Amino acid sequence: MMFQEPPADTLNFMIAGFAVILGTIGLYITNIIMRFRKLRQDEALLDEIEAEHA
Amino acid sequence: MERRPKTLTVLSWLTSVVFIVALYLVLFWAPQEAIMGDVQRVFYFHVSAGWVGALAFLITAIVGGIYLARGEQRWDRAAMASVEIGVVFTFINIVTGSIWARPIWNTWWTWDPRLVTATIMELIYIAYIMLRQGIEDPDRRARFGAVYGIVGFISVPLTFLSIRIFRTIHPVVVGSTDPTAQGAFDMTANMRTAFFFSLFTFTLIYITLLWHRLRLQHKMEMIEERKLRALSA
Amino acid sequence: MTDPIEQKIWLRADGSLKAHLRAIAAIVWKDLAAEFRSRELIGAMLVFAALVILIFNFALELDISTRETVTSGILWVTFAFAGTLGLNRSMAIEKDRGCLDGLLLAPVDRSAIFFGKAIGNLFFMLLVEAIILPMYSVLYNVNLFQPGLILVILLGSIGYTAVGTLLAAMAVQARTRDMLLPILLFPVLIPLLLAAVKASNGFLQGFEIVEIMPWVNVMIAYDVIFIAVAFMVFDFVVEE
Repeated sequence: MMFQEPPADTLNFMIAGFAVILGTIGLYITNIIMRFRKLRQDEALLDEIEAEHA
Repeated sequence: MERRPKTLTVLSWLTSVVFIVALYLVLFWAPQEAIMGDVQRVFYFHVSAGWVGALAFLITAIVGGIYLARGEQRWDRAAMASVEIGVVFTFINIVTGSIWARPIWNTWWTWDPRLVTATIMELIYIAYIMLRQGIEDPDRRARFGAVYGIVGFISVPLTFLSIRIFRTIHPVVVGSTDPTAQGAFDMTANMRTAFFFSLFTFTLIYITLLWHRLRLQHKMEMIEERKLRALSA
Repeated sequence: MTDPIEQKIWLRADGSLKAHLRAIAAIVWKDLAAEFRSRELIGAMLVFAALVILIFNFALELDISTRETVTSGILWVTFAFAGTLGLNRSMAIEKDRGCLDGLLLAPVDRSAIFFGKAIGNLFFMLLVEAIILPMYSVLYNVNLFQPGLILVILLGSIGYTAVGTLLAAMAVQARTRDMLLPILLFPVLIPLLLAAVKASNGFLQGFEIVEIMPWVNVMIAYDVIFIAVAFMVFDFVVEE
């Protein structure tokens, strides 16, 4: 098969696509890490409170 | 709930490495598509994300059913963890589908059955999360989640089927005559390798994220319990 | 237990199919009787539906030619929205008056409650549709009284109330009660609504039966599947 034209220049769209993929996954992982951190803070606080009550 | 298990740490590292390999395969190793150019490379992860979304929602429906049968909290935990991942990856699927469509069909949205079904599925599972957020009692929250997870999941194939019939009878003018083809292209052997490796990679990502998210959910529940006890003490 | 209908269910319950059917009938009758006394539900649904049709008249340019293609869509959007009013109200009444607890204590299979409520809701929806059809016919000079269309409306309403009753039973127990039902219901309803609009359109525009049948089949499949699912899971929705 002979193609008369070269492939379309869609590099920008490809970059946009991968930005969305990596960005979204990255944001989600960050979100999970942040939630874990907050829970650890809560845990420390609860440890203190429970120690006071004991 | 103690330190992260060693297996999970190893798995997380493994998944990261596999993902980088997949990125290389998809961005550089796979050949450039002859007509569409580079944007076609998005396709590998677009389909894989869609796969993870569907898998995640299937798991949610199944563990929901198991929860209804057995009443054990850990099944509900799995349902909640899986739904969140499903929502994230279905979002990726929809947006990359749109980005892929733009240079090819010159439109940001095609009424392609798969894209529309994915959007409806996304809405169902956002509704799922909203339903859970509106219920105080944890047991009722789990039960209702399970019921809606099942109802929602069953509706998806019906949705896909009816939109398919719709498109067969009313093919959209902008597009090929085959209503199921969206930017169809032939895959060479290398493309196929990249494609299946992507599917494998994303499945690994799903399992890893699910495990982490499960631990998060468990920790959340334990902290809630301790808070309640501390407040009533 | 002050409600005489509830007492009837209690007294006659003996676990047989007959008792089951009687329980369903009693629940349906309870809802119908209450509604005929107060007429709140029907009144609200009717006014709402009439307003929606009027708004469509101004929102869309309904000249003679477009009217024909758009009619089935307008009808079903109207039914879908008016339907949520009815469902919400119907379930809220149970919860607010505490009738549900009385019914739950009766030694009848929980599914009887589901079928009773669903049939009651179906009846109200059909009643509203029966009034909207002539209203629309008159306002837009379209003949809507065709057997095919009636069949589609029946099939669509059955599926709608089956899923709607189940989801409304859950939504009414959440904090965000009123907003939640449409959010839960509409995405799941899409195959049914799509098929209903297409089938209605087919009958109204006189398409060949063979073209309409796929849509009718989708509706029948949807109804069967979701009645079965609702029947199986309803227990989990009402248990305390």
